[in-house]
Amino acid sequence: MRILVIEDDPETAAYVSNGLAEEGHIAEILADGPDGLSQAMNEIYDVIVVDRMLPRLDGLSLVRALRAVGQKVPVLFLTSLGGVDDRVDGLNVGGDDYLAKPFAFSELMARINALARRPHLSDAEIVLRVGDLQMDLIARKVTRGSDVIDLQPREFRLLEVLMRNKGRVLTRTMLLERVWSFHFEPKTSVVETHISRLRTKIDRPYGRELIHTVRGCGYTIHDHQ
Amino acid sequence: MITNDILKRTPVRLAGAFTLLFAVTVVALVLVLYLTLQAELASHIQKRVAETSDTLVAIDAEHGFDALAAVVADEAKSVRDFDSILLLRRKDGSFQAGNVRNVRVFSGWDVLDRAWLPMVADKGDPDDRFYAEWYPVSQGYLLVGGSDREIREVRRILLHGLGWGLLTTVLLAVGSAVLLARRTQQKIDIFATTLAHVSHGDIGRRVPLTGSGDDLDRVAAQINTALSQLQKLIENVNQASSDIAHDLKKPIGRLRRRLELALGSADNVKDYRGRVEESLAELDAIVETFEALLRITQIEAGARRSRFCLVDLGDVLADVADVYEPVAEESGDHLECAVRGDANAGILGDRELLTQLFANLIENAIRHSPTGIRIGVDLLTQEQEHVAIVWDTGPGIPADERENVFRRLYRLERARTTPGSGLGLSLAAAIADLHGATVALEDNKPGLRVVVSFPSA
Repeated sequence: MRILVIEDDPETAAYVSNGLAEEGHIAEILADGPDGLSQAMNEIYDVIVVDRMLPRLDGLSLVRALRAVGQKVPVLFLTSLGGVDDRVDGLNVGGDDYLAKPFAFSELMARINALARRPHLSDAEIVLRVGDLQMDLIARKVTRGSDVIDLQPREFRLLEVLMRNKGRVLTRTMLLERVWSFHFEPKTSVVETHISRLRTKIDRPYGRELIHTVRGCGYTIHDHQ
Repeated sequence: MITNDILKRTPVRLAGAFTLLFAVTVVALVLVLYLTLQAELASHIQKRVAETSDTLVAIDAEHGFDALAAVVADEAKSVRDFDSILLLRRKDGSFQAGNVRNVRVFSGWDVLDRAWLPMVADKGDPDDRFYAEWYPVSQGYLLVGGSDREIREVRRILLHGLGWGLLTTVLLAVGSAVLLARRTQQKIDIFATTLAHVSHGDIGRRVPLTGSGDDLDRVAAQINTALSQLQKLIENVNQASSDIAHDLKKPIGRLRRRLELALGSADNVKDYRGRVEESLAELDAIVETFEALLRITQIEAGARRSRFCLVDLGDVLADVADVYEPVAEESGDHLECAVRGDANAGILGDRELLTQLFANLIENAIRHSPTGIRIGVDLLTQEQEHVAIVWDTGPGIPADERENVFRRLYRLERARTTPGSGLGLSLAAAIADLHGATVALEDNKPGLRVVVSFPSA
């Protein structure tokens, strides 16, 4: 992937670009707002990572300008610690995701991955499939092989989020945000508990696991061995 | 002090403004009076001139020009103090009789200046002006004019009065301004001294009240209230920062020990990895504490209120309970929810924060209790308020500790062993406060009962 990182703190920028390079992506770093904007307008990127606080032109205005000229490239905002309202502001101007500093690189990478391929999985999809697991979004019906699996609405939602991101890692935080709209860190094992419940219904009776734990990072669903 | 910047003092400025206003009023009044009187007197003078000229023209008509000339010459001589002018001239322009000479013939009324009139005798007041008119007579022209002395006299009297009046006004105004300024200044000086003491660190100092109940006393009372509030805030901040420093010293110390251990005793990659992972977890906890602190601060700042919209409290409670039901079960507890999603308990709020508030309360019950307790979520909808209740059958909080647990970073003695920042209830309280809700901790007999009362939308 080709990723533009607009970030004025050299340490964060280096941390992000090294990490991306290790994962085999091309990262371009720019340290100020106007440069970042003109680069984002003139080149084609898979994802743009923008810091909220930038010299000369802040991240919000940058993305607003980008959206105003019709650029639809996925944008992920980086913000400083504890910005309660930053996320809403960021999404309002047309950002696609949001991550507060300090962050683990795995979290950033998971979010970039989720963003980059988002357009291919539109909401228009009716049936999601992973191996012999099928989810019919219209009939709200889940089957594995020939068995119909009865899921609670929340379990259904959790499985839907996982299946829509088939093959990609979803971190705990991403699941909390997307499944339960929790924008804070719970002190109990909310995600683990719900994943475990879901597993007992869709995985355990079948011997072959589809939901995989990615250690220290999150969960993913796929049917590769 | 009183002479210092005296023009900037409020009472002085007020007195100045009133003096000016009063002076303008007086001047306007006198001006109107003068103009009215002047018009009245001028017409009176003209009437007198007209009467004289009527008599003289009649003499000319009845007894002839020579008789008129004689009368005019006689009159001109006898006019007392030159308060009127007379001039009779022939058709060829030559002087016949009168007390002035060489006045050009004009039609209608004119005002002639004494200074420019060639008088026959050097008498009269040089400031005189004459309202005069020419009248045609049988063999020439007759000029009759009356002096404006009365008008000038009236003007003099008015100006005189005006001068004294203004002087008195100004003196009274300045005098009272100085008096008032001095009295106010003394009180304001007390304010200034008190505030100076406060800004130099004596935060307990207050402005003394005179008990007179005047505006300055009211201001003083308000200053005192503000100072008390400020003192409370400063004490809170001091308390919070020392709490923060104290609370973070421990995890940072642990972090340091872990890193030291890694450096000193780990001699293979696996051990290093383990130590580094532990250190990272410790760091995450520290960051989390900061995050929670900042979040509380931001919530308390209240900016989020601008995003409030209608939220159904029952819906939020049912949702949160639904998420935590399996979590409670996992830890051996039982969560029961008596709230239905359609409870029709609308409040103005921020759904995200409300979710966090109730998640916090439920998590507190799960984490700070031994396993096997019951946890309940309930909602009472009333006319004026909607009351959300989260109760548990755990160990509860002793009555004398219930105030303290809302303090930032405060942790009960028995909770010190469980991981946590001691910020959960502070955050819950901050969120409730943002929504205008009150949080009460009650005894559930056994256990804790957290009652959050929201004003209904």
